Amino acid sequence: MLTLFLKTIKNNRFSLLIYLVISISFVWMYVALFPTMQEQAEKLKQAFESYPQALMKAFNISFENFFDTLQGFMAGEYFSLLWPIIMIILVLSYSASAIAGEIEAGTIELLLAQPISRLKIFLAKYFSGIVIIVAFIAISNFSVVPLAVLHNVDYKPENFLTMSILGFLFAFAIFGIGMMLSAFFSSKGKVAAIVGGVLIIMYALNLFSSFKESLDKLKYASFFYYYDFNKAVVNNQIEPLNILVFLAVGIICAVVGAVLFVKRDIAT
Amino acid sequence: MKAIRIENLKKYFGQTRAVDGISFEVEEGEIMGFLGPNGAGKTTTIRCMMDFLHPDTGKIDILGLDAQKDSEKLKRDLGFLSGEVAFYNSWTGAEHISFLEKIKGISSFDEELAAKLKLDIRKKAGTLSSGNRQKLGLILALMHQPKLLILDEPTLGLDPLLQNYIYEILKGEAASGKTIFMSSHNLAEVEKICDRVIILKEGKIVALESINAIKRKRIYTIYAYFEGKVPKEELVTDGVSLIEEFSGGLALRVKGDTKPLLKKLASYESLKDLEITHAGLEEVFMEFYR
Repeated sequence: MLTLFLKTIKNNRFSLLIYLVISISFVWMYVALFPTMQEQAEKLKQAFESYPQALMKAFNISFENFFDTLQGFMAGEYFSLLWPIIMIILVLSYSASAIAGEIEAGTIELLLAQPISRLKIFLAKYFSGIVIIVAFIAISNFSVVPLAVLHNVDYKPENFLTMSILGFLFAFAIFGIGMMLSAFFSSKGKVAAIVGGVLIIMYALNLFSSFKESLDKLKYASFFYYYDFNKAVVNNQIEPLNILVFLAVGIICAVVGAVLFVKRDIAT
Repeated sequence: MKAIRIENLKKYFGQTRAVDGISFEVEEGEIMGFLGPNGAGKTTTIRCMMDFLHPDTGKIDILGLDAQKDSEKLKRDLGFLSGEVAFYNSWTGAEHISFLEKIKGISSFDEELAAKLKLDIRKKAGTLSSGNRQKLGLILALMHQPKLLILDEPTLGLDPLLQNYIYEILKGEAASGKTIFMSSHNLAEVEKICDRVIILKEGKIVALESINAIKRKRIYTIYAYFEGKVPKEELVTDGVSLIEEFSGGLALRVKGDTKPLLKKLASYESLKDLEITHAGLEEVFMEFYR
């Protein structure tokens, strides 16, 4: 199991590196921009005040702390949409390829013909995915520390740690769903399309819930409601309910995925 | 102990009865051919043996172990090769070998086999020709000295030279005491290397016999040439069927004893010439599909 675990990580090291380069580039850009943005704060505040407030609320964007701290600026510019998109693509491409991709390519037969149980194959793939996600989140989010020092910007590392924990929980839930579907389907395209579709629907639900009071409850069906980046990175807090929802979805889906993979027929 | 014992194996996919209640045994050290056209159920049976598919009913014992319950333990002694073997295209042959060495817990790989097969294991799998991919598959199947080799159409798409090369290797493995179970729809291949053959049709076994017994199945083709009228109706009787009628003669297929027909033919003064040929394995095989 360890051999497969290590080999899977090794196989994904280049794609992880690419995702890291992209995310660190953005972090660098925003950290470097922040001092200039602070200088222009008054003018920009006036411009932002003219934006429709309902729209700002819908996208969970707050300019309250936008110019005051790096945390507020990163929340609005980076953690609101850009970082989740990069993270979701990473999680989806890994989980879809992990099992469904092996079945589609026929390489799963090479693994199944070896003296290693299906459960161990699933767990090796699952835990290498977790390591890749943790590595991505830790390195991309904590790249803010040397970059803030470099550009002489004040920052709170503990807030970025809290944001990383929330980001991991969010990724953990999506990864669980991805691995469950990857264990069930034999085509990675199908897995990516379904999980991607579900996330788009969730995003829309969260968006619509803020437009009308009668739609307010829809937000509870969306991961994007529980992914409260503002509270995490600005206030250094995560709601217990958010932790519970992400952990429950991630664990249940992973267990269901493992059972499906052990029980299913595999014909390449 | 039997190397393979399968009892009443059934595997259906919806309404399709891919494997429909087959039972057979394979002795240790034997080379068993598993013959049938596409869709006969060969690959499904092999996938059930390898625990890729779960049988609907039936029991598969391999090397004294349950192929489903003891799958992980059993695979330490199994070598598997598919005709459409897939590899990680970005890995070299050496990386595949090293990966499986670690999984199987082998200390050192027998480089002689790679040299014998003239395979450059430094090349990436994605760049290998189908013949070289099959060579790599064979190395991976044999590298841990398995007691039993399960091969699903191992020479599919290979040129005759490479096919013969693989037959020689398989014969060598069998001579060293390994049991080989190989599916094929290549009759000549089975005739060349197998001791016994199972013939499968629509998920059922229609014959399980030694190659020699099948070869001995008495099917003859008799060409009879006449002067004048050809007595077709009188000659085509029980056990004798007409293959074709041509100008001045007939081609007849005879199952079993040829004496009654030869006696009858001899009674015709118009009989000019006679030609008798022994049926090949292919013709015998086709009998099962008529």
